[in-house]
Amino acid sequence: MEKRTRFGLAAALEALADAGLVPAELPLRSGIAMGSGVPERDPADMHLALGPNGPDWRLLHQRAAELNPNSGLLNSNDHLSMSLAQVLGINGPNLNFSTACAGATHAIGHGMRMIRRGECDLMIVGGADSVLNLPTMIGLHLLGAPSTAERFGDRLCRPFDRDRSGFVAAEGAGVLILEREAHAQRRGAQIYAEIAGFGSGMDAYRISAPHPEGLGARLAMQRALRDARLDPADVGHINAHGTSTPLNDPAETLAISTTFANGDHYRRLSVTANKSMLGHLIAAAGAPECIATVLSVADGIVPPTLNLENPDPSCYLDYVPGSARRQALRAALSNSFGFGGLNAVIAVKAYD
Amino acid sequence: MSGFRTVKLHLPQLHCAMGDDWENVWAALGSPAVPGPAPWPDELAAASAHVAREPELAPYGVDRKLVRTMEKQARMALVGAGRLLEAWRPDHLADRPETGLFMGLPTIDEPLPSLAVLESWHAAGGRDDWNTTLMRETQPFSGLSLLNSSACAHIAATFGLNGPMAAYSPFADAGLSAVIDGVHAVAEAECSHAVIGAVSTKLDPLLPLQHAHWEGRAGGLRVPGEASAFLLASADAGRNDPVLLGYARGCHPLRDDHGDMLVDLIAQTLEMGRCTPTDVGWVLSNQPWQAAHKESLHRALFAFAPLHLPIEARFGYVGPAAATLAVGLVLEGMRRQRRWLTHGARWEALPMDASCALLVMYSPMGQIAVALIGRDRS
Repeated sequence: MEKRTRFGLAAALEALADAGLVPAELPLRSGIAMGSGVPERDPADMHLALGPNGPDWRLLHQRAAELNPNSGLLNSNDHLSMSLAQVLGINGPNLNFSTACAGATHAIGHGMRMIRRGECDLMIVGGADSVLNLPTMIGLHLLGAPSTAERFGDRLCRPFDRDRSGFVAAEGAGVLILEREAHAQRRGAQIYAEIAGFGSGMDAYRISAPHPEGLGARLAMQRALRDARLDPADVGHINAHGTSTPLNDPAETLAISTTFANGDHYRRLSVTANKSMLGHLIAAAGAPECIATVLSVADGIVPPTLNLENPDPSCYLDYVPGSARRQALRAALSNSFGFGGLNAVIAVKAYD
Repeated sequence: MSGFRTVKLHLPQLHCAMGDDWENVWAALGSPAVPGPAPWPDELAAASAHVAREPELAPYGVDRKLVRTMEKQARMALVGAGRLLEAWRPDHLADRPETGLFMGLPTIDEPLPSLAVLESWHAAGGRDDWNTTLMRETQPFSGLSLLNSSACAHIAATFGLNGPMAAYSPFADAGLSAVIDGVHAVAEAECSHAVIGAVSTKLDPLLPLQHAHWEGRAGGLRVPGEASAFLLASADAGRNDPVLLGYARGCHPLRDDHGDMLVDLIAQTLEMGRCTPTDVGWVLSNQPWQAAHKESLHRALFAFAPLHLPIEARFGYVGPAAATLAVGLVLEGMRRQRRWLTHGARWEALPMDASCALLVMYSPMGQIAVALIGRDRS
C-alpha cells in the first residue's frame, strides 16, 4: 500500500475513535471525500521493463505479475478513498478531489455541502499525500518550488519571513468527521466546531505562479464568508496557506488585506502558518490545517508561525510569531491555494 | 435541494477520434468506429485505440512554448473548453470573472519515470547512479504535466475564469460528479455559469496493464479512446434546455457483489427527479469493469433494457470523459428529439418520445454515479 494510503487510513481510524464512532455503527448515509495527489511510482517497478537490449514495454507487460499491485504504477489516485470504503464498509458517495495543494480543502468543503444538501448524514473528509519520493521531488524541484537553501537547518520553512526561500515538502494525512448537527446531538457526540462555509476561486493568471495580488485567493475567501453567512468582521483568525515561498506569502497577505479591508479589520486578525511546523503536505495540506483551525476556534488558542524572525515588509499582518496565543474566536478561515491558482477556503464557526 | 432543477445544461462540445463537432459525430454514430493503432507496440494487449487528432490551440492564443509543457490531456481539455466558450460568447472569449469550472480528470498525465530515462541509463551501461540519471533526464516541466489539475489551471488562465472550481478524479463517476456539483454551484449562486468538462486517460503503454489489473483478468480487452467533452450549466439559458433532474452516488468495494445498490441508486435518482421508470426514454452507461458490476447493471436495467446504450462501443474507454460525453449525447438527442439505440452491434437513431434520460457511470474500484437529465415539467 502506498504511504499516503497508510497515512490516510491511520488518520481516519483516529478521527473515528475521537468522534466516538465505530465503523459498524456508522449511519447508512455516510460518505467519503478525500484529496490526494500524484500516485507514488516506484522506479523499481519500471526497472522490470529493462532487458539485456534495453528497456521495452513488452518486458514490463510480460512481468506484470511482479508489479506491486498496491503501487502507484497500477493504481489510481482514488486508492485512499476506496481503501477507506473497503476498511470501513462505507457504501455512500466516494469522491476524490484533484486540485493540487487545495485537494483536501475541496474534499472538506464539498463534504460539508453534501451534508447540507441532504445527500449524506456523515462524511469522512480530508486528505493524505506523500511526495517524498525521488520522481515527484525532481518534478517539484525543476519547477523551483521547494527551498534548496542550506541556511537555517530545521528552521528552513519560514512563512512570511524575509529569508524564506521555498516550501519544505512533507508527508502525512488529516481526516475530519463531519456530521449533521441533529445526528451528532442525538448520539451525544463532542462537537468541536461548525464547518460553516466553503469557497473556491481561480487566479486565471499563470500556471506556475500565483496571482500577485491574490485575486483567486480573495475571491475564495469572500465566497467562503458568503457561504457561511459571515461578515468579515466576525472573523478573528486565519490559518494561512503560508507556504514560505517568495510568491505565495505576499500575495496571500494582499488577498487577506483586501478581503478584510473594511475598517482595517485585517489589522486585528491573527494569521498563522502551520507549514512552519508541519511542512507542506501538498494535496493533504488543507486537512491538518483545517483541524488546527477547528481546534483554535474550539479551544481559543492560535498556534504560532515558527521561524518568523525578520518579517518581510510586504508581509505586514499579525502572524503570531514564535509562540501560541490565547484568543477567543467566533469564526476563522482556513486557506489552501493549489498550484496553478486553484484556491479553496473553509469557514469555521464556533459551536454554541 | 430542488433549486438545481432550474439550472440549464446546454452547448455540448467534444473533441474525440470521431471528430470535434456534434453534427458530424452524431451522424457517424450509425457506423462502427474503427480504432486506429495504439501508440505502443503491436504485441501489447489492446493494440488499437480511438486516437483523437492533435488539438489546435493557436486560435486561443496559447503560446507554443506553453503548449510544449502540456500533456495531450491538458491540450484536449483546453480546446474543449475553448470551443464551449466560443460557442457561448465568441466576442468575449478571455474574461469571464463569474464563470466556474468543474472537471473530471484522469489520475495522471505522465508516467514517471519515463522509458526515456531507462533508455539513457541502459545506454550508459548502468554506470551512472540511477538517481543521477533520473534527475538529469526528467523533463523540466514534468512537475506540471504530471499534475492532472494543470488542465484546470490552463483553462482558467487562458479564458480568464475566476469563478468557483473543483476537479474530481479519476473515473467516469468523477466526470458525473463534476456535472452534479457544477450544477449546484450555479443553483446556489456561487457563479452564474459553470463550464463542466472531463478528459480521457492518457494513452500510454501502462494503460493496458492498468485495465487488466482493474478488470481482474489477464489482457486489457477494452479499446481505449481519447476524448474531451464539455457543456455549460447556466442560470439563464433557453427555457426548454434540459436540466439535471436528480442524481445519486454510492460505492461498493471491488470484490463484493453489488447486490441491489444500483437498483437503489436509480430509485433514489428517479424519486429526486419526481419521475417514474416510464418517463425514462434513454439509458446511457459506460462499460462496467467487474463481473459483479455487469450483473448489477443487468439487474438494475432489466426494465430499461431496450433503451440502454453502452457508449464505449463507439468512443472507446475514455475514463472521466464518458460522463460528459454521455451528457452531450443526451443534450444533442433532446435537441434533435432522437436517441441512438442498439440492435446487437448496430446502432439506430429512433425518435425520442420520453422526457428524460438516465446516466449510469461505473468506476473499476466500485464508485457509481447515477444522474437523470431531462426537461423540468414543474
